[in-house]
Amino acid sequence: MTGGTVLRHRSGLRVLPLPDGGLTIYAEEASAAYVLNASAAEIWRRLDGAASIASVVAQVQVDHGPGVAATSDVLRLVEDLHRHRLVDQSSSAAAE
Amino acid sequence: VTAPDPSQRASDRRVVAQLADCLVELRVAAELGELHGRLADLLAHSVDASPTTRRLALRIDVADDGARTVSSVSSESSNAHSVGCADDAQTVAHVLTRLNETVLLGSGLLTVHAGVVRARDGVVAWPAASGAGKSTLVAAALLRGYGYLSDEALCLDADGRAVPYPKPLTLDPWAVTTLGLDALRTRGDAGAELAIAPHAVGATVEVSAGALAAVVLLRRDGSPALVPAGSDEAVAALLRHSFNHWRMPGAAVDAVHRAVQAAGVYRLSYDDPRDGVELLLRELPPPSSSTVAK
Repeated sequence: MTGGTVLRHRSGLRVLPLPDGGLTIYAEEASAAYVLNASAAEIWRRLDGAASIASVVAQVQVDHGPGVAATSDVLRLVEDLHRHRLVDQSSSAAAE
Repeated sequence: VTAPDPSQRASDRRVVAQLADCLVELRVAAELGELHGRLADLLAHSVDASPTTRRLALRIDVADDGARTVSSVSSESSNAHSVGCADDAQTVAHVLTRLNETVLLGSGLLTVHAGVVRARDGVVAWPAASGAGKSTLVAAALLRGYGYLSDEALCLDADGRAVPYPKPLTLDPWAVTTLGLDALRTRGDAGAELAIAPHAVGATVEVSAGALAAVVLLRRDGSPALVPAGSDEAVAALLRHSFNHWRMPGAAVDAVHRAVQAAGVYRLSYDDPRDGVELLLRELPPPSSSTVAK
């Protein structure tokens, strides 16, 4: 994945919001649940099939202030989400 | 479903109690009057819940040499289970182990390894692994006026409500002494885990399901502190410590989600369980806090 990669949520996931902004994502086919805190859930919501990873990082830095930690945290999270098959590369980005 | 031990006799003494969603029927050979009395006291609290088809039938017999045999069969398994026990203390311990295994693993409720008490605003649960101090903290809480649901399991129905599993408390010797409960020891208990009826420590036993008011994540180190934590941590802890989520993974996630929607989440750091309860008293007071003596 690069900064230009565009990710979107995989279909077939059940996403359950938590009262303080976090999320539980339940992947039926793997019978696996993933729990995101409010910060991670905010990034998850930005992976909408339109925004690139670079633009998500930029938006997080606008919202929370610039920093290397923010960039590496976002990258680590999206890699985890991709590894656990919770996000796909969007078809338009994959075709590029 | 009925699953009686075929060796039961008319002279057997019975104890019947519903714990969570399982009806437990215990038959004790007439010769073991003292043991029957003890088990009847320990299993005196029956849950007021929906009728259940789940059954666990146990029978305790005694041989000429005094050795006991505990035979059991459940509605989930046609295999009878039989274990020899040397004395009353070992027999009680085995009955409680069998009870936990059968009621919690085969339950239609989501069962989570946790200490569970009733506070003023609802049910408070602390999910944790064995040895984390759940039962000791429950006993310390009961001594300060909290109601009892379980020292072993949070049992969530499909609506996320906590159904009581009021098994006897099981405390190790350190906990018994630390909490000043040595007077509750009976013959043969020295040095072993002690099974204690919740009413023996003055606790009110909850018999109806209730909504979760808080999830408390335990940390046995550092200075005593009770600080807010995230709902994501509560969901992760409840699923991680579940006994039976693998039987119904989707329903387990739903039950946990419903349970935490209106629940506070805290992290409790403590070393001495009495310090831990002091902190709980301030943030999550017991049902009748005005009458609880310090």
